[in-house]
Amino acid sequence: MKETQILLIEDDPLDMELTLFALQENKIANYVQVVRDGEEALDFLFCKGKYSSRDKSQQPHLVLLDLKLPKVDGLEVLRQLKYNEHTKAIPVVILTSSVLERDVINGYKFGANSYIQKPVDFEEFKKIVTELGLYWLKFNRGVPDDAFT
Amino acid sequence: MRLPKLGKPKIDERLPDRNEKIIKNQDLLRVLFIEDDPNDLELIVYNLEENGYKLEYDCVDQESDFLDYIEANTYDIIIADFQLPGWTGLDAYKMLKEIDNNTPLLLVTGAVGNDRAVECLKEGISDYILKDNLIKLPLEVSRILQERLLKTEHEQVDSQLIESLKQDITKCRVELELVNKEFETFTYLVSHDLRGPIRHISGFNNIVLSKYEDQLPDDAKNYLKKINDSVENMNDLIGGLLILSRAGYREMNVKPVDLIDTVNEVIQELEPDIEGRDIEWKIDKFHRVECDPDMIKIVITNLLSNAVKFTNKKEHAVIAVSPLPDGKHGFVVSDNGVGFDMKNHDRIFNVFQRLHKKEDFEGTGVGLAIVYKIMAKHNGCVWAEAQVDKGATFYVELP
Repeated sequence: MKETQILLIEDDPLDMELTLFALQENKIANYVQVVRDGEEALDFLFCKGKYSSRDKSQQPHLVLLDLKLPKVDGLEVLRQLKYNEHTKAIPVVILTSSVLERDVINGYKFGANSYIQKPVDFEEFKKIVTELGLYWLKFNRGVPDDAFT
Repeated sequence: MRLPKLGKPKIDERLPDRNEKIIKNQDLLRVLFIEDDPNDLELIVYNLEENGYKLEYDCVDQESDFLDYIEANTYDIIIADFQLPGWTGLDAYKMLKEIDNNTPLLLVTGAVGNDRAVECLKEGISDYILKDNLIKLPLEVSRILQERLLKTEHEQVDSQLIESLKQDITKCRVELELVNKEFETFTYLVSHDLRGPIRHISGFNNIVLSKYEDQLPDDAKNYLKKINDSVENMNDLIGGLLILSRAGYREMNVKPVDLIDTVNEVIQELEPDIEGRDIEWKIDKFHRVECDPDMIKIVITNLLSNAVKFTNKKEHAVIAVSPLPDGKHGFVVSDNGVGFDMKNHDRIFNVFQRLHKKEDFEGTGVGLAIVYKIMAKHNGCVWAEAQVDKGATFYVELP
């Protein structure tokens, strides 16, 4: 099984495609796992449902989280992720188009590591994705695997 | 012809007066007498009963008893002798006031000297009669009860009015919360749901442009670039609408602001638009003004970027920012640009209103609408003077 470097939680297929394009073009991540709603995200993170055979010690090094998600809301995914001992150290970057102050505040309240508003301009978006990939996967020293399992 | 007879109307034709109503409705008059002379008491009771009152009464002559009785019972009226062993009727009155008991108190006294009368009046007692004038007692009691009834009725009406006002306010608050909630939903829709598709168009357009650059004929590339421009424009429009609606919705945060600092800040931020242009800035000194600094910055940004934009055909542009004349609070922005026809004055502050062709001057037509909204929010105003090809002057006045 390939190591998941980035978990992309995104329900919109076009946004998903654009984000993947930006990540791949700049060779940020070798493998990106995409989940399409909040429930699937939680299943993946906590190795439940269709991900029950997943190796729990192999957690993503970065989570890119959209807020408006079907089934389980993005903030709820964030809350559960940050509340759980095994997943709380995973950096979560909220990647959303919401400009609502309330969302920003709640995002940080629930423990988000960063909040990024998706720009409309794609060149800018690519630049942001490259920079945040570089920062969280290359410059930032994360938790060693297994440390929280 | 017979003239109608003048004279007193018959009893049953008279409107029932208040006194009658009270006496009739008052099955039982509950009285507390403060009286140390049994003869006086008997006389007063007799006087009242003779005049149709049915009495149920207690009588005390000690201070401590008075308090016990008043706390244990409810009376319609207290009828007190002035001179009592060790205390006075005035003391009783003061005690009542102290414990917030508003039972009316009528003083019956052997003789009220002038000093005593003044003292009573000072304390707020208006109801007293002389013992040798007991014949007036029933009338006085009736008057007091009537006043009390009126007062109670007023209080009831007042409390009903207050209650209905409270309900109105609650209703308004609920409605306001609903409107605010709706606005938030709208903002979310605009910022999230409308921007989504724009982002997608921009994204894929960009991918086509960059990925197939070598394979695309020049005119195809041109069309794609036009799509990009349109998307950018749409995005600016949405951004402008967001600022416009937020300006109306946001809470004001008014404080003293040095406008000169804001003006200089804005000019620095406009640097990319100014590059390569010959612009002469004339910035005067300003007084401090009371306003919301973030909002006034939006106003200044819009007016200065307009001035920069509409002077771009001038070789030498002059843009001046000065205080409002006559010591009024506010400022004036003037330029020597294309100006406009004054017959369009009112239209320029409408949203999406443009007076020039897009090819000549870029813009969304939201900027001055935002300025107008923000000034309205400040209880201030904005107006302009202009002449075609001579320039425009915008006046911003704060209260």
